[in-house]
Amino acid sequence: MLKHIIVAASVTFAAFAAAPVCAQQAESETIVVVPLEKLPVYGSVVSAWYKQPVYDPNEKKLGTTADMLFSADGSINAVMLDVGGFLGIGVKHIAIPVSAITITQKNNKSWLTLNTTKELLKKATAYKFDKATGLWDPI
Amino acid sequence: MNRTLLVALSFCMAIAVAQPVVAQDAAPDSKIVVPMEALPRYGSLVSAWYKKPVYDLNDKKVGVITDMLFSGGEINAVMLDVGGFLGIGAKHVAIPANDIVVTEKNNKTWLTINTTKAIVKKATGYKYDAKEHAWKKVQ
Repeated sequence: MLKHIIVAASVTFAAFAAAPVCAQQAESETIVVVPLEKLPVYGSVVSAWYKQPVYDPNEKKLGTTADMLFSADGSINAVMLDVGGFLGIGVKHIAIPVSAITITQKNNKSWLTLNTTKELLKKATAYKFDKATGLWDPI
Repeated sequence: MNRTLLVALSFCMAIAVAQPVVAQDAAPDSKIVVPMEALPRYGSLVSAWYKKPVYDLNDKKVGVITDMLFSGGEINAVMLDVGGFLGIGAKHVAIPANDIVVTEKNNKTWLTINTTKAIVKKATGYKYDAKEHAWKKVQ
């Protein structure tokens, strides 16, 4: 019985390899997920980014990553950065394209860099997390 | 000089509003990042996944997300600590990000995976190597 399910799952995997797999209600019994035997190729891990400080090229802290947005296909497309402390205000979240943040290492730890200026951060659109909708909204 | 740059940036922003804006200048030093004026389309948030529980289809907890692997901005695997679920100390398995389904329950994000204890028990275990910043197979 169990072998049956695994076989079914493998077939499903093959069929959906390129597309996001969403378990459908009608077939949910048969789409059993088998953990990966091998990790995919990856460049970074969320734990190195989430709630971590981000610095400017002069090693001055700009803020802390508060969230990362990803689309239905799993692409991270923006990083929400709390720059309030840096600007001397309470809290201000801005959105940065994920590709604009560079990850390197310093003292054997991840080091995130963003090349921007205080003026640009000050002028930037601020966002606030709406708990009821679970979305970030512009203020 | 600074004003000239800002004017140039505003112009760039006007013509490239839908894309991540990275201001280009002749000198490599002046690749200054402008925060986003509008958020890209997104389906979910890292904050709704990271360190969050994942349940099976019977609302039984399978484990907790401890990390997410990404490559070129694309999340391709989720590391799940299933130790508690299996009644052992800690065991991390890797799950394709697409196999975790996001829904809502009591106005909160609810993550599910269709798998079984037997499959998770047999699955390859991984451990985070803090020195190498990488997840390694447990032999």
